[in-house]
Amino acid sequence: MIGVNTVILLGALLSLVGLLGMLLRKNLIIMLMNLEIMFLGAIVALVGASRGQVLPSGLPEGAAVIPLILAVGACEVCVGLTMIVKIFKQSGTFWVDEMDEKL
Amino acid sequence: MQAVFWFFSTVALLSALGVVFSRQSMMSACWMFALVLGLSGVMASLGAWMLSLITLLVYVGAVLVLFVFVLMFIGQRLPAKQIGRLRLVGALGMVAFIGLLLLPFLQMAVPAQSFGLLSALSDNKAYGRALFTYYSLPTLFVGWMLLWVGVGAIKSLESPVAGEEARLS
Repeated sequence: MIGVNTVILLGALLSLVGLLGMLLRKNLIIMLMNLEIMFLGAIVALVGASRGQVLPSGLPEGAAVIPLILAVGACEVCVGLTMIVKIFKQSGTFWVDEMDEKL
Repeated sequence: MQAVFWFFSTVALLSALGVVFSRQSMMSACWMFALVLGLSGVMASLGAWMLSLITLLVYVGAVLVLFVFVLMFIGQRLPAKQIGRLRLVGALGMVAFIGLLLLPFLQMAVPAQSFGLLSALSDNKAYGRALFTYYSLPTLFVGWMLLWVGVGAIKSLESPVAGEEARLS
């Protein structure tokens, strides 16, 4: 039987891998991808922990907000990529260690 | 279903490591695709078919396409950089330190629950009813936010036309 612990642990491990990527990589696009991995880890944990008050439609409160959170994640990527393209246009690089000199 | 869960969670974790350690940006995007497939499988194995489908549609259909588009636009011009050994050790140490916080959680006695019994998680009508009645205001707000984020992104990346550039300067 798959426990709540197991699913939340999977989410936590994914978030840790995302954090590792954020610390290791210097490429802005890959850093944003790793941020998304952390975000996906949080969503998996939310799916595992979607309990609590059951809405009149029969759905637990936690599960009902997941589509909204996914939409917020899509907005985040859109804004992030726009900022990366803007930064690339201004500095000509997307390596974070080279940006200090060029911006 | 348990074997399916373990299979897909292993795929997801290995793909996440693939995103971190791939040297080419485009390979990272390919690993990200495998990661989303794995997570979608994890959600399906928990009985949340609707969420699995939404994740697949949003992440592969919208987010990954955007990533690949930007990578093709600017990402291929620069060569890949190697990760320094000191940086690798430092980052691994920090992540291991934060991972220590998980230890008390692992010892907690959370009762195991069967996810297959939660039929509501795969009920599409229940999602529709919840989003358009109980959560109608947040749904409207998120819809507006998506629209304005798209419009704002296009507007902010727009190059000024020749006459306007002169007027602005």
